[in-house]
Amino acid sequence: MSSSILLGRLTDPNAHALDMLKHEPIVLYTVISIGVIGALVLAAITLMGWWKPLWRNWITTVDHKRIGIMYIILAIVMLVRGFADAIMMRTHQAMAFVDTAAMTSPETAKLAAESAGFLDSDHYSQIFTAHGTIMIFFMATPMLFGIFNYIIPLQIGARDVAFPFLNNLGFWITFAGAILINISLGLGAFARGGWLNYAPYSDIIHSPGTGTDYYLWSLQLSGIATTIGAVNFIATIMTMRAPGMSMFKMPVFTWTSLVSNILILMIYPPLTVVFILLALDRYAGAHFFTNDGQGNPMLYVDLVWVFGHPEVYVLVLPAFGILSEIVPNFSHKRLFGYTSMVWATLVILILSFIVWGHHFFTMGGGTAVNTVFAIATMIIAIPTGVKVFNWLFTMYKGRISFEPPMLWAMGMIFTFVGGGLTGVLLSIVPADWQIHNSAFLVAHFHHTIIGGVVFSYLGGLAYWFPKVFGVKPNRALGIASFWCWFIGFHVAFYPIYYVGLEGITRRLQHFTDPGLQPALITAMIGVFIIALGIICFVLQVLGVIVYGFRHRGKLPVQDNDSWGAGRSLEWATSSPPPAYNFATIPTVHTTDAFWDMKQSGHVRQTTGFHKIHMPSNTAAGFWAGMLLVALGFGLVWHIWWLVAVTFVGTIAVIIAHSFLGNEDGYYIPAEEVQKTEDELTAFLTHKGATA
Amino acid sequence: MSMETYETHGPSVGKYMIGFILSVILTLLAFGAVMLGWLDGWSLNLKVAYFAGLAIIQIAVQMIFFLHLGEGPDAKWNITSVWFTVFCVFIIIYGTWWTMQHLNYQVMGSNGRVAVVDQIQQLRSVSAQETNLSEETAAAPADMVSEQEEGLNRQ
Repeated sequence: MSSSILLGRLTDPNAHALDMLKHEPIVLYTVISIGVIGALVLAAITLMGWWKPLWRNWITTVDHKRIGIMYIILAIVMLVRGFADAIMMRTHQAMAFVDTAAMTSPETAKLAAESAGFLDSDHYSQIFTAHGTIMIFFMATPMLFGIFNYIIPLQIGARDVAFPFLNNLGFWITFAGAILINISLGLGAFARGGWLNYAPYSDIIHSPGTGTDYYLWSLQLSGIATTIGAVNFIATIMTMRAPGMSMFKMPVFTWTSLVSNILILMIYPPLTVVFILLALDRYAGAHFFTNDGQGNPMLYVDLVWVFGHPEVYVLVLPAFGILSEIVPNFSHKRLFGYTSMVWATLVILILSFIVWGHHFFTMGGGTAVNTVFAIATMIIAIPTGVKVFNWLFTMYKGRISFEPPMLWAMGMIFTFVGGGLTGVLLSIVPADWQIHNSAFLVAHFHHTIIGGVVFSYLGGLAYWFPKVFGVKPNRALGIASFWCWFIGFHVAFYPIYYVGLEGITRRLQHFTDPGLQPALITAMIGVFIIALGIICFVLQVLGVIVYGFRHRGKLPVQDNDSWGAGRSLEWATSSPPPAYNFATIPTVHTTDAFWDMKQSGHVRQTTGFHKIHMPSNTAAGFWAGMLLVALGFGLVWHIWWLVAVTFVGTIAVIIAHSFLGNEDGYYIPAEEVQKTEDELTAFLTHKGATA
Repeated sequence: MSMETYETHGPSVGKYMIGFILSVILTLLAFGAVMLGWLDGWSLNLKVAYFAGLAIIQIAVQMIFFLHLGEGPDAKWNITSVWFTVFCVFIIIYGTWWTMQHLNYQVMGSNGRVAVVDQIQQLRSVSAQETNLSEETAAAPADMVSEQEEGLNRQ
């Protein structure tokens, strides 16, 4: 080890700091283009003089709506990043076939196989690890928190979240994790052990490079941010609901978000602990998960799945909630079985916590362990089924309008049920012995995650888009995006089920049976169809950016009830909502509070507003996030002085904020509230006159 | 300190004093047991149960007397979340323990305690009885065993 005090492992030739850039043209060109695009963006911001508004309105903001938008932008960027990995994997797999029968000796056959395709095995392993890690921790989770942030306070009739500064801090810590994981693209390498990086492979002996360290510290940051976010939302939902909104009058999305956040508080601590233990193994020579010194790698597998399986439900429960909002809206009917929906959510909360053992059916679990976990896994299909039937009964005899959000919802129901069925298949121990660790499994979890989570989130984005920006996204692009995703998904993953049953295992880099090549080429075509769907979605977003430009960043106030059938409180305020959300906090009498207001002829208050208390902006979260990037970087490259400085610095920033930050906030004067509300009144009157 | 400060922190000093005294007693029970050798004759399991039990009682004492569990307007939620936490921790710990026992026992080549102890005993009995060698050569596998027991260094 020839690491220097100043630059740590960066100067150590064994750490391969620049190898990926030197030997992988794909990485080199990616890094160059990221650098060029980044420089262009920064130059543009400077030329347009946007630094000041950017700093004041976005970076230092504690407004839950703006933080929500920033989370979603981060998620979309990381979606594109993770999807680029997916395209590379599928293209590579479709090409990585070698006819070994034609080879003269086993050695030449092996060599030929390893050089098949355009990625070498080391790079390929990094790509599938990065794909899984990014999609779960830096795409799905930020998307989830973006939607939480924007919608929950509006749905429960609150003016902000319980801890506005914590919200800002959480975003910047997530951002720090995302930056750290992307640095691994250029400097050093990323982990190669799959999205959960099983020990002992992630051990210092088997993975001496920087990859696992990048993995550990970026995920640790993401975990901290997610945990403080969950604390924030539980406190918000518990304490800040509008008067009259008892637990059983909360919208279903709020319910599922609450349960999802409780689940986060249950499962992220084990993850944090298990990563600290692995870090101790790697950095301090401990033996928790080694094969010697009484360590046991299986304990890593166990603890990591205590986190890993419920995490799937953390993601999918709010997706169920989104569907429970979309389906009644576009069926023009009340949600069927509200109470059963809530209880099903609570049952899933408990059951999701006792199914983790099904991940080691084949790793030495005895009859008793396997039976208990198998039965729990099968039973969880029941509350999930309750939800599916409730959506179907909501649609039954409803007046369905086929807007893009409803298409996503129906696509989700169709696809997710299929994924659930293959999940039940995997939960049967004897069947699992045959198909575990095969591409069948890969197809199954993409079936549930894309079909269940991604479709719902994209549907949720389409559904709440007019609430956020005041305008509906382009309908044709939305429908095109849905059909591309829907068709692309099925074209991409049914062949994967097939090749899995034919014996292809996951994480495989090259293949020797040419008979399976057509299936993998089909899968590749499917991924390119999905890519079209993403392009349509990005075009929709660009459309609204152009719209924002035309209004110089100040979007005009539009109709509050954009789809015309809103049922929950977020539709009671204008689109986009004012900084204070509600000029007067609404009183709730029943579930579907806004629907009730419309039915009972509730008249919107137009005069006599009071001043409104708001939290002040703060830069502490941003600086803490930036320091944490440097802290993670120092830890990865063993730059100990940087670790010490940034560690002390991060704590100092937080302490300084608690003493110097403006905790008293400020007041929006009553006149300004009046002016903002008058705009909505004018719009509503105008609409009434022309309609 | 004025009366108002007491008002905001809880009903009386008495409760803090009871909590403090109970904590001291519980701590002394743990330390005394080790330092004065009360438990020397006990089995390992019994010792673990003794200390874990003291720890759990200590947690309860601190939550009730210092953190005011069960008092104030949020008492119902607090107690519900404590029971829920206990439930979760139980599932994690018991589930892990139970699963790991199975895995240790069944996974070939594992370094879990069960497997290692089994191997060591096998190794000893094989070297001592079946091969019937002289003491010098029989010592070789025993050395290996002790090395394994202490934990090998990596490098």
